[in-house]
Amino acid sequence: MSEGSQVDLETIQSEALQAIESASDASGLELVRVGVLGKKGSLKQILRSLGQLPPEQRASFGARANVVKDTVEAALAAARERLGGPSAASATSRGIAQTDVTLPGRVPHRGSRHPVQLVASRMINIFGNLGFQVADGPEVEDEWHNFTGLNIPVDHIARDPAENFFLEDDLLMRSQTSTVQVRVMESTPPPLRIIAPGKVFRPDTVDATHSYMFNQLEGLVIDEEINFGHLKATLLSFFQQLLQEEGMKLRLRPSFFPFTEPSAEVDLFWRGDWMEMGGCGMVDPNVLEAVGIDPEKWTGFAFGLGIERVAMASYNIPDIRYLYENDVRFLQQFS
Amino acid sequence: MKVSLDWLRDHVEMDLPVEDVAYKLTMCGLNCEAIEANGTDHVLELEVTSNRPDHLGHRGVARELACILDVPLKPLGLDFPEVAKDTVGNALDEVTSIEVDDDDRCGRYTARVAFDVDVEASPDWLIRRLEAIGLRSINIVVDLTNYVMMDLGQPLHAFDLDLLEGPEIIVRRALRGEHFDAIDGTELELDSDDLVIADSSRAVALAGVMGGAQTEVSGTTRRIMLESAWFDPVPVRETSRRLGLTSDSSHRFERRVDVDGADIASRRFFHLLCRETDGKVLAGCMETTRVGLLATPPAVALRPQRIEKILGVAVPIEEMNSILVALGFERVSESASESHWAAPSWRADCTREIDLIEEIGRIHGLDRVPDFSMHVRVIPEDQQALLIERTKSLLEGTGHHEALTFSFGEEGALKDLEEWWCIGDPWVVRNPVRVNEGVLRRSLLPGLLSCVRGNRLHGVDRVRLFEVARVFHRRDGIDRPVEKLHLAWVHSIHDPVAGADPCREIRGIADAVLEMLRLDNSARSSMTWNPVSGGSGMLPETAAALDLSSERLGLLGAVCIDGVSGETWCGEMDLGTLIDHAKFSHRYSEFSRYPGVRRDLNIVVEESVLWRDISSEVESAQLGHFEELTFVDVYQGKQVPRGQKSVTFSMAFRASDRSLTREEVDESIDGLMQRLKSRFQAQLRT
Repeated sequence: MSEGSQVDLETIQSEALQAIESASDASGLELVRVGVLGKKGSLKQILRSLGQLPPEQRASFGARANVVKDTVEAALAAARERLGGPSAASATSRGIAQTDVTLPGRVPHRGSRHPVQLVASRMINIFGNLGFQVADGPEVEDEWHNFTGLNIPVDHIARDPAENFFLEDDLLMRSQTSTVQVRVMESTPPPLRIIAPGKVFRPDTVDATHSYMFNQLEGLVIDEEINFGHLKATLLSFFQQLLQEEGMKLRLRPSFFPFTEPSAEVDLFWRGDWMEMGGCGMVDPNVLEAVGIDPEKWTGFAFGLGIERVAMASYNIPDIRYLYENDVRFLQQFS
Repeated sequence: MKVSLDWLRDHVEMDLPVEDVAYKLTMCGLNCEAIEANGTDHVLELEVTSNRPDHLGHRGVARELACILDVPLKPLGLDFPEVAKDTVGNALDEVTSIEVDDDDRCGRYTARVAFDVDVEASPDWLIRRLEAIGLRSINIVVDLTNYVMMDLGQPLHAFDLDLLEGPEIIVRRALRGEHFDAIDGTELELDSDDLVIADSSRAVALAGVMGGAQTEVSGTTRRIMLESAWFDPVPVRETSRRLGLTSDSSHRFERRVDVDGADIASRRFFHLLCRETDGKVLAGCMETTRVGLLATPPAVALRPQRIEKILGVAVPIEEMNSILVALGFERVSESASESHWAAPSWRADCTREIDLIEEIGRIHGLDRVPDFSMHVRVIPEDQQALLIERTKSLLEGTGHHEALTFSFGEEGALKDLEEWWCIGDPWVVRNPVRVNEGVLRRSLLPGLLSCVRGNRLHGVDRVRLFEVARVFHRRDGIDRPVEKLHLAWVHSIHDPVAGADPCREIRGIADAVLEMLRLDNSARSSMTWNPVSGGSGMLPETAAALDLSSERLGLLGAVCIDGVSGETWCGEMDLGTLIDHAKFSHRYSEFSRYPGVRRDLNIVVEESVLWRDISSEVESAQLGHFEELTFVDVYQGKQVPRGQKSVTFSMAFRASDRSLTREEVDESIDGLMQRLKSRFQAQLRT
């Protein structure tokens, strides 16, 4: 059959090319492809007889058959291009069920981040861009770090047991993240540029704007040439980045805190209202001296911002208690 | 504090609209929270900071305005006629005397006496002033004490001298259990820590807090004794707190009134009394003052270049001087590099250079300080924060909502769950806001499960929550709580889908986190999940613990929540410790590009045999070219004998340098089956 097989290969090729030439659409081409290259196609059938050839002819026949296959495939591809139809075979021919492609997607269950954490992350990132490193301190503090080191005298009202969550001895839940300032200054020599986000605790009566646990973001800069102007510029850059809205105004209004002097409230004008976002000021020399930093050489500023406040303002959340209920219908709005 | 604009105008000439006054005060530290019209007058609600008791009187606020507007403060009338003897010929020291028994708590006590006083209704101007700030007019004497207090910030108290069982007035500690009828009608039982003003038989006033009902000035009063004192702030606060009794007087004494103010206020009162009534004042003033109380504090040095260093703006010397002078400071000396200033007696808060700088800053205007950018600083990457962030992302990405719960917990609720992590007493909160939050939590799960319950009872049928937060453990030899960072997650579903395997889902989260953390080899090789027999707070036979040698790193299982249907599974891990074992540096490792061989084995073993033991047997067999073991399925039912189960798993084999043949793998498999047979009596399932 050697000669005949060679002839058959030629025939298969020429007939296939002719059929491709005359095909007028994609399904016509598909018929040719199945008839020649398919499992039961003419080329496959003739290859099955390969074993009957004398061994010395098998290689050349095989090579010739491959050439025919390539030629037909190339012609098919060219014809498909010419006809402009879909380059692949139909979905059904590939075992894909036909479907209504306008059905809605099957969405995987998505989780969410808590709005307070979302805002905290943004704040950390923005301050990170301004060169502030995150520092950490314990939620349970001693009186030295919570009061004494922060220039809060022994008889100050802030130390009143009724104003704090005391545990045993002189331990209490920290009432401000400023405690982390003291810890960082104790362990790290200046220059310093840190932020400390975290939970703070004050036994306030719970209402729409008060909770006895909330989150603060503390900031501290200590360096040789730091003044109130640096504090202003830093907070302004921060709020510009955070809100990215026209018409935002920032005002530092003189106030009083034991650990800063001069001290100021951070007032933000946003969406038509003035809001108190936290406190700030130049680090009081007593605070620096308490941790052995020379206030003649080093100066610095500190600020504490309420994270819940920013979250409530950003997302228009009317009641702080919603933040701690952890109702899925609330939480999933932040996915 | 409520401040009347007309009243301020009694002290300072000004012609500004009320909004401007409010704004100027706000921007120098006296935040105006509200403005109310009151006829032609306006009333400002000012927020006075705790360091400025001098702002608790109109004159103090007016002084601030005079300074900002650069106008003088009007002088205060203090003079009045005195008579040497009263109608029966007694001089002041024959009428009364003062003895201070406890000068730790009473720094100064002054008393003046007036007689022939007609205690009548107050004149209109006085009623108008008091009513503007919400005080009710009572009579001319009481009204004048209130007026002077609201004007100068110094509380005064007038006694009906004829009702005092004198002549001696004693300032002493109360007796334990001593009875006192306050002027507002409350009956109090005092403590030996309370300071009282007493006559020879009883307490007639609670020092600094409130006068007594029995000696109050009324329409029949003819002789008055006026107390103008300086009480130490802390004892006043303590008494006021303990008795739950606050007054305009205690509010001021708690914040430390002007030590020089007692005499001035007393004179001002009698100046006005003599102006408005026919009362006569006995010459002299009974006074006792603690040694050193009126000592002049040392002058404060102020360096102009220091002002610029702190504020970032150079305030001209002339402006600096005029600000301080207007605020009542006195320049004691001056040199080229610095000046020395004596603070006025009402500014006990100004003892250091920085205090003066603040004064200059707030009056000059903090908003006039230019913005300065800080130099660029690059911060190192925080590896730990990065891993916490990735953990949270993983939980979020697998459908969990992040919760935020409180650090407090309830002793006894889900005690086993807490004690599994830390046996021993929890840290107790002395004054919790809620009764069920009396301790610091040792596990995150009770709080999270309570949120799950809330959600499920509100009809949310499928709840997945997680939280990363701190728990507080007690360790021997450490005198404060050990704070550990935990991760907890919960899956709760009303109607579990058939075929879903919630136990493996909850475990899958743990496995994914552990894989993401890339623990170091020693941690990885000695870490195992083991069944927990009891005492974990999980339902029996659902609990598994992650152990690293004897250290507990994780717990997961199913729990039963009161009134919540379906299934609730949860897990908790000591994320902080796991991160301590995380490898931060990570390197690419070469992989084989040759095809491998995958073989599935289906073995039948006793149902008590754990996957933990099968898998460790496979891992420790050290089969040639072994790449990976994957659990496929476990089956119990008709197809296998009772008491047994069939376990299917898949193993991948691959050589690094060539295509592996089936024959090479077959040999390994035969060897493995021998090991499984001898260890577990495992049979190949056919």
